[in-house]
Amino acid sequence: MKRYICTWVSLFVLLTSCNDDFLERSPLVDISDSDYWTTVNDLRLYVNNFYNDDGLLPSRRAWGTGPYTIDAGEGSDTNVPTNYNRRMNGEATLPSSGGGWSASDWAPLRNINYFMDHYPQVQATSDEVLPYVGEALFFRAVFYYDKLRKFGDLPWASTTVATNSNVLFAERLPRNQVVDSILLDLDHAITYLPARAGGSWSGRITKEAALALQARVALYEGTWEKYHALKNTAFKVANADGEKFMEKAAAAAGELMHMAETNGYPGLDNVGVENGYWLLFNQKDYAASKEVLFWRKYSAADRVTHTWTRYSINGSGMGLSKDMVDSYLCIDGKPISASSYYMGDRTLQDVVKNRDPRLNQTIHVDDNKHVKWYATGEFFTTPAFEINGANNTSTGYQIYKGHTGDFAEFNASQSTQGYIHFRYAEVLLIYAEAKAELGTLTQGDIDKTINALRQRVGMTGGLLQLANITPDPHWEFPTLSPILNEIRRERKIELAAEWYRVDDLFRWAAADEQIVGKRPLGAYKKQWDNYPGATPQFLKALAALPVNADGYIDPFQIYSAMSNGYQFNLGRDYLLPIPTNELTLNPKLKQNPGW
Amino acid sequence: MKLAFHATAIASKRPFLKQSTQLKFIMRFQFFVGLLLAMFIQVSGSTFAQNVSLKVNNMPLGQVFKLVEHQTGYVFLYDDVRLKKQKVSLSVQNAPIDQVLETCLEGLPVTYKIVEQNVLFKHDEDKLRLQKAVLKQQTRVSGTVSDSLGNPLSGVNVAVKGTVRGVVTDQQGQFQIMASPNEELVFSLLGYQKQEVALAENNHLDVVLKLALSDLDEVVVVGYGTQKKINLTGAVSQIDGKKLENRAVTNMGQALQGAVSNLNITSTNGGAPGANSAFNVRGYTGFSSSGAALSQSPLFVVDGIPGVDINTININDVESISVLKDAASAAIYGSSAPYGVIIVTTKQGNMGEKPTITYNNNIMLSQPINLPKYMRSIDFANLYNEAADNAGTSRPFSDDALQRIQDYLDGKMTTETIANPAPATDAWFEWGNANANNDWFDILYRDVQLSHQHNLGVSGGTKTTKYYVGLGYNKQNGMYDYTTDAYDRYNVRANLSSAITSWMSFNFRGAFSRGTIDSPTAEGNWMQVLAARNWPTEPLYMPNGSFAAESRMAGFVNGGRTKTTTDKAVITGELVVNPLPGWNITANYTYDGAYYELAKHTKTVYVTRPSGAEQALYTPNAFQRQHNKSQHYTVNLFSSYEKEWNGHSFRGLLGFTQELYDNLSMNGLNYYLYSNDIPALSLTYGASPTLSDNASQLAIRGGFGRINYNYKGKYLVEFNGRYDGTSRFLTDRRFKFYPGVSAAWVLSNESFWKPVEPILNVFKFRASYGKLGDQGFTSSYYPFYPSLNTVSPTSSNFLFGGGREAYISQPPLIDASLTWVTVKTLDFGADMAALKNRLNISFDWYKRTADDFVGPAEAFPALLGTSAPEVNNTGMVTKGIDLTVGWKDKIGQVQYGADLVLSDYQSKVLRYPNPTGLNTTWYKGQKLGDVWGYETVGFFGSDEEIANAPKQDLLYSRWSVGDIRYADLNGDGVINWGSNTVENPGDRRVIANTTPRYAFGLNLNAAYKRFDLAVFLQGVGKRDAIFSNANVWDGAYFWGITGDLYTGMLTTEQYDRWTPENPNGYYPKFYMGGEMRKNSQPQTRYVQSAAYLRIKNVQLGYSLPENILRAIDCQRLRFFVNIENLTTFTKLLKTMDPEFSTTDGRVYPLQRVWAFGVNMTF
Repeated sequence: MKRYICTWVSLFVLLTSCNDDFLERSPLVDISDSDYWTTVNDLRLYVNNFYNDDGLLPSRRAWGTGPYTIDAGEGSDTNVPTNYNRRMNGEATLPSSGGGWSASDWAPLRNINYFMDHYPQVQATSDEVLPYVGEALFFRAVFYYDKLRKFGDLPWASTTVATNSNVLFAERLPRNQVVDSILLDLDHAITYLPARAGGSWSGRITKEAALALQARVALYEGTWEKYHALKNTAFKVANADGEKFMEKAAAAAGELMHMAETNGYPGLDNVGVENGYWLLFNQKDYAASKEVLFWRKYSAADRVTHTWTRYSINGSGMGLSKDMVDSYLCIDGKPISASSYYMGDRTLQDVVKNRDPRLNQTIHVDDNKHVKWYATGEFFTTPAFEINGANNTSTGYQIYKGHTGDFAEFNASQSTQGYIHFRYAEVLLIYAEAKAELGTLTQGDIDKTINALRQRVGMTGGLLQLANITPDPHWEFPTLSPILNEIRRERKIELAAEWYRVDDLFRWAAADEQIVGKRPLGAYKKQWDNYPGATPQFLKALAALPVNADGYIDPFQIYSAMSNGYQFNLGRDYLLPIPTNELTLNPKLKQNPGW
Repeated sequence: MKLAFHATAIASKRPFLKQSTQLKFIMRFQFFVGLLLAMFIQVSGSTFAQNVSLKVNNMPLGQVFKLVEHQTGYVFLYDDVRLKKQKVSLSVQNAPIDQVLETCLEGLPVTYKIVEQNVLFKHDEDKLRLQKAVLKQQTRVSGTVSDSLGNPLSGVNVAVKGTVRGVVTDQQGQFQIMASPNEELVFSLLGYQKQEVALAENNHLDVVLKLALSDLDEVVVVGYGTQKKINLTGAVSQIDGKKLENRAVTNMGQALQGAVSNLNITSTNGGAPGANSAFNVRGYTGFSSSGAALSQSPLFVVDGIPGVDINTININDVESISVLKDAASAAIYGSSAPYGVIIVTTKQGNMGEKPTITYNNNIMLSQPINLPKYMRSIDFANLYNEAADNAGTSRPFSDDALQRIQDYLDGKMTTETIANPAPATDAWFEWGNANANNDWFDILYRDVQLSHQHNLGVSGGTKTTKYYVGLGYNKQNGMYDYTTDAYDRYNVRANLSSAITSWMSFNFRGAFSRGTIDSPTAEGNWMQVLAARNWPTEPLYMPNGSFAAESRMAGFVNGGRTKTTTDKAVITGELVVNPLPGWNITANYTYDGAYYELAKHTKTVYVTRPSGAEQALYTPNAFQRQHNKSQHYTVNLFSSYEKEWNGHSFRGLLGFTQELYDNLSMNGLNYYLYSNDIPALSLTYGASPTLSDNASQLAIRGGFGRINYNYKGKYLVEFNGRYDGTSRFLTDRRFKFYPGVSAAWVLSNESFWKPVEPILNVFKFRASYGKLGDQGFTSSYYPFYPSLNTVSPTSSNFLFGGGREAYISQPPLIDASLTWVTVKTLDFGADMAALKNRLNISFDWYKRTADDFVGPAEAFPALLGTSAPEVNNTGMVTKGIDLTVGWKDKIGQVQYGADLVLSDYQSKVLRYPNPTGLNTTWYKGQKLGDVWGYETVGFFGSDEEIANAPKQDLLYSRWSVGDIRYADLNGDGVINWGSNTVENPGDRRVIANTTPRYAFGLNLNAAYKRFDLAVFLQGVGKRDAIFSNANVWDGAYFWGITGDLYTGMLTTEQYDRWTPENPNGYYPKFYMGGEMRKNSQPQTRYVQSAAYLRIKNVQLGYSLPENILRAIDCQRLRFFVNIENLTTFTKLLKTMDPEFSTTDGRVYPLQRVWAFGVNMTF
């Protein structure tokens, strides 16, 4: 009997000991919307993620990704890499997926829109909330501007896209409508964001940065619409109204200039400082800068560092083109073709002599002043042709701008030089260009913009006079007005190697003039034959460099595919293709021209 | 006196040899130590091993002695005539002389002694007195043994159970033996079933031995019980733990690979020390959310406890392993076992058995196999330059470097590099400027490595208890050279069982294992990759003796150690009650805990620049400590009842189970150590330490039942079911019922079968169908919960004015209707035994369907900006076969056997959210493993050919001689991919299938006298391999040049490429740049066969004869030599191992292991 009692008692105990909550298990280390979106700090933490999103602000930490290498990487006519650019040579291929149009490429937009859908849940005053909304809108504009430059027409989503959203299977919106939306986002952002003037650097987006972005986007679209229509390319926009955008560009830039006049911020840095132009680009900290409106900081102590300046000592695998160097005016404000100050280009010393001081601060010259490393007290002598791999200079015009004499920058993953995203000089150039395009540019405008930039570097004798522009037989755009040519020249010089050039050529529809059939050249080669103090390695590398008939280094001569210069496809290569799988998934998407 | 003896009867009765137990122990110990020291001395027992074969009936001893003298050369010296006249009968085969003598002298007051070759006899009344005392209670039992047809069986071993007393039957099948009434006799004969008979008061026994059992008579462990194999209705395979012993492998997965049909096992980390195995039963089912096909793991059940990790179980503790393959067999485990069950049963003692101690070891010498061979430095440099020229990129090797490389090869230069002569560049030349000739695989891995294993087991029992205790130690040293990597494992297991009363018993099972892995931190997991991207010209050492910075060896050797310790404890307490005969109630509770600890020390190391200045690498130094605690509690309560009446046999089972998984982890990391050499978080001063934790719980509860019914062993039917609930889903869709039904018909038990029976002894047909749930399709315990993604400031990389800040971002898309996947399996099988049960065949055909699998939702336009939510929207069907064939027989004195397992499966997509039929993702009707690609025509031979060939401009804008010409399959004059859909694939088609087909294992074994030999072959009959060019890492081992300067590796294979001089090379023209992709598109030319046959194991053993064993009081002593991975036959490119061919080859190499060991049983 005992055994049955035992059996039933134990059965009973076991079966009743289980409580009903056993299968209720909630997450222990997770948080969801229902527990979030209560305080203003929640908004701040959420928008912080946009700053960390590679799709919005590329972290640019690896070798070859820094601002001074982008033009070369994209294959401009001004900054030349050691290998020719495939897209510029019409060698781009049509992908079936990826190609800048994948779910992860569109993820930043979703992330921003998710914020836009949820921030109203936070109960707080609009003063507290709106700055963060402004940041989100700023980043949405950043996102769309990037996609606009790559693909042109785009689908527009201002709320989180669901799997059944109409926009998912809709046609792309024409680019001008997309830009309207970008500018509207920025209008709001400008209203919501706090101005920096008077405040200390917070690292966050400011009203000034939003204005600068608005000016940039508006000018981009305005000129794109104008020039692609003018040249009747496949990329012209139906019902284009470039003027509207250029007016917006001028207005946004003008507002910043007005703020500069009334608040003393923003402004130009290093005015009248010796080597001030060069010094602007190799700083670790721009917190006190008036000119740098938005930048990214790096810090070794926090292990947030980069490697993009690692090979600046050797030229970083690029070099300025002869065409670029020749664009610099002489000290008298006249082009080299017209100025008696021009000393020719047989040596680097000659090249920089009597020229716009920015040239001397942009390329290395053997003058015991262009520092290699402060620590060793060593100065530049000869271009780093002999460095193997892809780190050497390509043209002999080895870029000095952005190089620092701090040896720590050379250590892999130890560099902390700051990354400039927006600087006020660009705003001035936008203003001048927009006004010139609109035909409303005055000498006063020129003095506040172009001439302010020239005065900053001490080129006081070579100021631009609207009424007295020296004709240049080598103007890049002979069909355009002299003032537009000079404004574009100023932009090319001031923003040299700062990743604007390819965008500029594309919005000006200028690939036919500046890319197609062109093969960029470098410095005059013979100047280094028997150069005093040259190492055998240097001389050997020098000897191997191909030259053209006039003795200029012709780096791409050896490539048969480049024998007739760049074969950019004018009917196709201004925009990237949409991956073919996306066309299958959404049949209403139409492929870009030429693909 | 008429006596019959069997040669294997073991006795040690020589009075003068009666040493004390202590002495025996010492002798045994000395012997044991001797064995360890000298593993393979040729042991010859010549003076002892004079064996005798005799068959005499009632012959005087004097005559017997003469016969023995004649056979052995021994001389018998005796003076007692009585002895000479004593008549004996005996029949011995090849018996040691001691045994023959003792048999002859049994019952006589005489002892003997062997001095040199002489046998001396001595009168000894004590002996007789002693024997009489024993014999007093014993009676003489006699009888005959015959087979089922009534023919007498001679040579049957008749032993008294639990003693060493035994005889053999004579020609007439007769035997006589002394035994007490309370003892049992055991009758055994090769080829017949063993039979035990209790004596009671009988002193005459007529015994009928049945023909040997076929494999179908084994008892097989199934879910919550056991079943005779003949009565199984589902698809179940079982393997005896003995078959896995002595292999020079460290984990169960390695031992089981190829041993069970359609149990597919792959290593998760190649041949690395402590690498675990991934298990799969019967192929793929379903897709992961990322769209990868899933090869899900079966459920592991160890001694009745589900969810126990078997990678750390000591193989020597294993009694048997069952694999439940079909849904009907596994339905009792419900949603825990959608993809089969592997049941491991560990060893137990026997009640009333004297203690048995076993000791096994294995001393292993490993050598890496299948290492790629680097191209010679100068050839490498020239080919890199050639590829750069082809691509129009700058040459990575200057003429100056080429000259030095050649000079170094010619011996004109002795240093591997030089200092960069450029001023103020205090650096050594590396990569393309250096001039070494290094084979990095050769440098990374040593040629041979020593490892060892030791296992000790003790089992036995008293009247009411039984026990097994196993101890194991396993030391596996890794193959790294210049530094070390090692896996150490300690195992303890204790299985105790005690009968508290006649109707209640208590069982305790406890197992503990500790595994540690100690490997270099810096580059520790990377060296396989680095070896595949270093250049032969990269120096190992700088001229000043410092490691080259870019070789990464400095960090590899001195950059700190990473140590992981995994402790696992499984403790079960169990109560078994028998309220009525046939009725069992079992209740058990198990704690299964895993504790993982990681200590990762990153040291700053220094290399020396040409000036003597130190260059610091791996800065800042750091330390990371991580603790994970995974606890798993299981309660099982089940009751079974069985009854038989009039040919009806009924078994029923009802049970309840509940499990709770509780995981906790904590992780801390900080930089800047006060001392480079003392790793501790407290000794770091970095301003922003990383700190994180994790916690999760999963609860499962289910009720289950089973009914078996069979009628006269002919018609068998079984119902299984489980009602299961999980915390993974919300309340309203938490519970589900999983049924299984199976039936079998044993045709050979039908009367109409009689005519066939002599040939086809047993034949059974089976069918089963069942449904199982899958809740493990997601690794998340909370798939219903849309969590926001949080990132701490230290993981952020944007610096605000106040430093880094935390951030948070959107949750993934969640579908609220997400629920279990139901996996249905239909299975038909047949089991048969033929030719006197020597041939056993088991065959199954199955179809497994998961029609509502959870996969990535429809491929949405990219604008969605996130992965689509998981929903139950995909389906896959897998069809396959399992075949097991066994043969065992004897030719003369050679016993031999062969076991073949063979399996095959193919999976097909039933449903996938891809309405447009894109062939770049899954689509309905696609066979798993299908690869789309182009058809290769060959290399372009001339510019003219290029001009006239279909345009390939979509792939790349430039084509030249030596590039691949693709076939224009759709004849539109352009090579393209159409719209990448099944309907319009352009010029692509399915060119290969990477599913392994016809996986097989063949175990051959033979035994002759004391030697035994086993050879184990394993492989895959058919499989395509194709090496991706999707990103620069993939395919580096195959293509050599991937297009990226620093992610490729040229091996000797790449010599065979297209050049103007070698227009028929294997590889196309190489390009150092993205252009390489135009030639490395997936295409027919580069489909490789990854089919292989591997001689996985060869084992040769020798067991010492018993007379020696008796001297050291040992039951068994066997020496063996064992070779793992002896050789491989495959057509696959030599740089890759066919076992890993689906990946890119970048794995820790497998090893050939030469092992020596000993098995001892006391």
